[in-house]
Amino acid sequence: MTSVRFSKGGGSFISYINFEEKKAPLPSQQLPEEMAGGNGLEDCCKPRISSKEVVLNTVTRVLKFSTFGDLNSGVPGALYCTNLKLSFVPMKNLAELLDVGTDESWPLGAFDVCLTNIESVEQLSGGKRKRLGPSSGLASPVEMIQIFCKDFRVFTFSFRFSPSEDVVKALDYLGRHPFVNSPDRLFGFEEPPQQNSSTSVQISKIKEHDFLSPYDTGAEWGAELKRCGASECFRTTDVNKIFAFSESLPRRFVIPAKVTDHKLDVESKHYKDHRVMSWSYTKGRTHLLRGSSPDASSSKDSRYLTLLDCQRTDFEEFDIELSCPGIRETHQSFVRLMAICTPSNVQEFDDVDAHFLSKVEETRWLANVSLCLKEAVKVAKVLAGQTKQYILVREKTGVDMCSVICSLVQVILDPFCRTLRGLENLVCKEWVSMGHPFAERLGHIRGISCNNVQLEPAPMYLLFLDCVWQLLQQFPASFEFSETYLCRMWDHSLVGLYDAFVFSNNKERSKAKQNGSVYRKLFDWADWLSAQDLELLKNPLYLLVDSRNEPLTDLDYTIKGLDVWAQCYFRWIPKSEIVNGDPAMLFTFYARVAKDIRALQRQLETLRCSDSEQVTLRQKERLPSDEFLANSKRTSRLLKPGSDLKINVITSSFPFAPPGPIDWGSFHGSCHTSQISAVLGDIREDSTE
Amino acid sequence: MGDERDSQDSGLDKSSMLYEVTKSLDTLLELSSSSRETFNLNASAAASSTDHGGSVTPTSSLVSGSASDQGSSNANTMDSNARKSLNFEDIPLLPGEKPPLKNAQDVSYLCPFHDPIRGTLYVTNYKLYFKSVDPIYVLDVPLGVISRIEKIGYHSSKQENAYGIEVVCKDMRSLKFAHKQEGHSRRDIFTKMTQYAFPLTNNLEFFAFDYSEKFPENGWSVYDAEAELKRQGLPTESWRICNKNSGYKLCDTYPEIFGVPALADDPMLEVVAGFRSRGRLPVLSWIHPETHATITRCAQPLVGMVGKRCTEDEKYLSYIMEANTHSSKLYIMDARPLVNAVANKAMGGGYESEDVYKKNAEITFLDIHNIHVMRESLRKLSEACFPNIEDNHWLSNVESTHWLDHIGCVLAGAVKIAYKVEGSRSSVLVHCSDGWDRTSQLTSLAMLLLDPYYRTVKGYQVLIEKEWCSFGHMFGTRYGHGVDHYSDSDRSPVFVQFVDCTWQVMKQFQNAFEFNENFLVTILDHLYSCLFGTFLYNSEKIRGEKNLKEKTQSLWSMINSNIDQFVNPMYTRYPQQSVLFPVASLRRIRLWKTYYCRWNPRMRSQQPLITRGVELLQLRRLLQKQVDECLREVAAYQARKKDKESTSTCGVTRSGGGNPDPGSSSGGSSPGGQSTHQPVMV
Repeated sequence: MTSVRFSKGGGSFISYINFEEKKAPLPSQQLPEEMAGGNGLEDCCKPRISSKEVVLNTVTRVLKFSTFGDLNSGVPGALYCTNLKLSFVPMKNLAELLDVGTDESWPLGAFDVCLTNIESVEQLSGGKRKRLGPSSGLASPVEMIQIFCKDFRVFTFSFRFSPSEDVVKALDYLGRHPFVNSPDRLFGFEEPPQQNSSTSVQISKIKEHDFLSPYDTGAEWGAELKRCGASECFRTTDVNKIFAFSESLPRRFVIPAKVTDHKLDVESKHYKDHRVMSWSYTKGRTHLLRGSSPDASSSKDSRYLTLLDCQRTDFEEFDIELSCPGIRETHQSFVRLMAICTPSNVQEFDDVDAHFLSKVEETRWLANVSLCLKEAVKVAKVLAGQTKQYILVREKTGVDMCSVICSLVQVILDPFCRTLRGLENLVCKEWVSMGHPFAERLGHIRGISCNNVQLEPAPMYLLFLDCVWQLLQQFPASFEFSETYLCRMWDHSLVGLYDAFVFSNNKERSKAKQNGSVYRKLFDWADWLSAQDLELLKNPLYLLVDSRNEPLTDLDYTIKGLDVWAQCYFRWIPKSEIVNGDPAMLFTFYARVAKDIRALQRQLETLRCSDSEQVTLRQKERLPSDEFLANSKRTSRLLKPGSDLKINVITSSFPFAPPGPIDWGSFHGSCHTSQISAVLGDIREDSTE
Repeated sequence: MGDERDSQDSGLDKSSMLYEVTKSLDTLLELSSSSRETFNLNASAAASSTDHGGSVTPTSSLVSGSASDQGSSNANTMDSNARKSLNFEDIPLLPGEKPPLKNAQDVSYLCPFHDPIRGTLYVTNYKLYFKSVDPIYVLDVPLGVISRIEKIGYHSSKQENAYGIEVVCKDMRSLKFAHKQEGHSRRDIFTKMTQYAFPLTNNLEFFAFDYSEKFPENGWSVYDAEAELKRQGLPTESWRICNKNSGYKLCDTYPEIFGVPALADDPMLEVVAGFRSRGRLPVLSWIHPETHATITRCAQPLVGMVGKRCTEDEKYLSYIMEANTHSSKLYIMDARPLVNAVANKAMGGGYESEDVYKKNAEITFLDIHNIHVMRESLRKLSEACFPNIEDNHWLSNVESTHWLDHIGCVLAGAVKIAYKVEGSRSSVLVHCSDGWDRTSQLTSLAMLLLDPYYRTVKGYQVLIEKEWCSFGHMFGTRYGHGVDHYSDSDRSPVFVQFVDCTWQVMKQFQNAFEFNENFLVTILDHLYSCLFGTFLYNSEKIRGEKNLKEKTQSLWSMINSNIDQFVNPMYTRYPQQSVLFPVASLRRIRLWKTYYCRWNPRMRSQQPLITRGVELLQLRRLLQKQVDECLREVAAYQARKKDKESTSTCGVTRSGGGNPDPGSSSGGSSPGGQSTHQPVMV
């Protein structure tokens, strides 16, 4: 193995991968000239830099520590600070660590963290912790930093050997760039062209169609109305075509057919952002509407009746402002959840573990999940009961809990929403187009906004995904997707490359795209995940056709019936990983059985369709799962702690955490999806057959 | 306040309550248990078999129950039997069970999840049986499960349902019955119930001696000490099978046959036994087939305050260490917390001093608490689980019982042992104070992790027979079989913890076990029921004196005769799961709700993923069958054609009739009985 050579204070020492760091503090002024001056970058791998990405700072001679290791030895490399992400690349001789199984075009490498994914940065010096922020000063000398991510990862970097001026610059960067207060300071946003206005108008005319965001067109709404069988009672309105009617609503939305645009305009005056009502879903003869709450000054709810022109008894309203967790509650709950899911060292892990259940209870996260599910079931039952004509779900903003509840109701009632495409459609419809302020709620922008408003973060989206996960646990065969898919959905929203998640409404998206900003297409899994990874997004139990359409209304939403989403929240904590155990083993087992079933179905079809004379009876036909087992028996080396275990090891964090040696302390790997085929067997369908 | 909490808890209004109870009792059925509660909806259709002998085995409920759990369709064979004998005047009886000794009509069962149910209460020499007609409701509880019976209310109690009997059970529930004050029905029921629930107190025999069911399998032959030691590879160069304890002269709580270091001769054994508490000298539990690293078990050394020494014991331990050439250290795992071990010195016990044992021994304390702490913890847990679950504080309430902490601690200890044996190839000596509670937990769990054999149905039975029954875990005392002394401080759910830990491992490695959850629940049910001889009395010696093998049935007879209900269809011998290292972090330890909370009808199944998986396997089996049939047809067709051709050309060809029995060829996969998808030879 190539050794890493660092000269230090006249002497020199040679080390291998995990070279020991001297315990004694090393005053920065003693760092030799050549170490500070020499850039050392040529010894490191190259980070993935996409177009428009600019490297702002680099810090060399960085050590990446394993958070749960002894914080004494790590992987040497360099830290690149770009306008998109923070990227750690190891020395060239450790290049294999970078293998993450994602497509080259994907901008994130193994140890990269998007700025939008960063929840907080803490600097450690002299045994003290300090949070970095736009206004916080630096403690010096900075020995280590820890980066806490919204996807529950924790990165620990040591700067002890790094040139101090680079470190200062990097810390300055880390104190500011992840904490911007406006979407136009996020990656990918183009300043509006400075030329005369006529040309820009021209541009916008030519490509207007490209500026459209989900559910900005009447066609999309038309199709959705048709799917729900509500075309007759509802119509798509153009009233917001240029976002003059409402900031947060999409260009086009759906209202009852008999309501004229004028009437809508008049009646919606007292509602926040004119969101008096918009159509969400229809089941049979009962329609689900969502809206914001009226101002205190206006008289309550009679306006709905005027608009809907229906009997009081035909109408039911759910004011979810009080029955469901609010923005602040959700945020607080998330912060506490983060605290127990991102231990910054072994000690913290053990402390949490000692009182784990009460700590979980203290977060109130499950309580909030329970409240959401409870409310959603309530609404779904009325909707399924078919005794009302209209159901209206409303809250103050009309863009937060409304999205959670309306989409949950549809997941509970509509089998289509339990498919991959259905859930993505649902997110587009109820979240993106309806103006859920993703940028603010996900904390992509924070602090005081340009309009002097305190931005309020709250991961309502994660709350929703967690609720769906709970449903998946209780009805494991009713969903086309797996929990891995839900996890990816969350991670997806933290990559600042999708206009759906870096803006708050279609108006902002439209404006940005008019300026020439380019974003990735939402849910573009296939573009960067390997075929095998894509297969992991699917639920093998979905093969059980008869259970797909079961109603999910009898779910158990009490806290005792809920569970902590271990895959999502614990996936980066090696100490809680079950090696070669469930749920990963069970998932791959089911995946193989599902593959057997599909193979048998094909075989049966061929046998039944073809002429008896032409069938060639093969000597031996083994099912894929038999093949796999025989194979793994042949090739496996028994699991022995301490031995080199790259083969046949998966963990409960699968497919996110590494397969690897039991000694997690010194292992630094990351996503490993390209390496899992040995464990999985090739679970993809053979396209040749 | 109570009402409010309740409605919050259930999320249901009163009108849907009955439905809820019925529905979840169906799910309860999924959990086979010898004692079950159910609305027997088909009871009205029951035939009018009047014969008292209309026999029902305890398997009946198991069969019907686990059938739905496993999704298999061969259900209800015995259940229909049960219905046949269910007459309104009559109740189902086991072979050997006497017709109701006492019945009381017009009794109300005060179900905590339902309005009082009015019906008839029967007591036989085996069970308590309650039956109501409207709603149709049956309660069937073996008397052995009862921990305490109390009268509630006075003859003068005016309040409705205030006068009656409360029955507190060992399996996490309590039952309340309200009697009418007239007719003294309560007194008679109380007397009979007390008499037969606590036979030893009343100079009676356990019902197990009267139970005359005949099973096709004989469970008593499952375990043979010598055969098991031979299976492990004994005798080896350094280990021998020793029968020095025949007649239980050396140690009356040990089995007659055990494995000891070959170098230790019989006189030495006597000296060593003398230095160990209750003569429980270190003997072999398990030996690694390749490295010969061993797990040995014993009781604490009698060091005492003065620090007594015993050179034979020191030598004996060095023999154990030297028997394994891979390591120059013997790890001594003392299950107790250090303070307890130190405190034991005052009573003549203690622990091995590393100085004395020549630096070859390293002692670790595993911090597992004593039987009293465990008993208290389970008591608290039962309070948190039954009858009301306070949803808003559910998690912290569970935490405050510390039950999961203890489970995690035991499991962590077992993992430590397994890691030393498998990872460091070192031998481990395990003891606590007497070496029959925590020691049994640790050795048996470590063996479960290390040896896939113990994860089979038969292997687990052997494991229990060996590490628990034969090595003198005091089942009689710990679970208070047949004795009314409910506050006895020697009672403790040590074995329950072991089964819980097994469940935890199972939950983390679903494919690695040949048996299913139902198997574990059934074992625990019969731990208390006293229907089988398996868990009666305190030691092999006493069981021999009572001649249990002749006079009672083994639980394994019943289980092995109904094996379909206890196997896990997911069982696959993955090579990477040959040794298991479960995670003992509380992030991964779960409350075993299907056992502890099963009496709460609002608790849902913890296993929908498994139930669905079983369906998936069934689908595969069905398709395989269809494919096989198709192939056979084709083969037959082609063979006929060939025959025609060959007769015309006078050639002789073997008719390719194919393999009529696809199940006979071996594919090595899915040994859980899913053998139908085998390679088809045509």
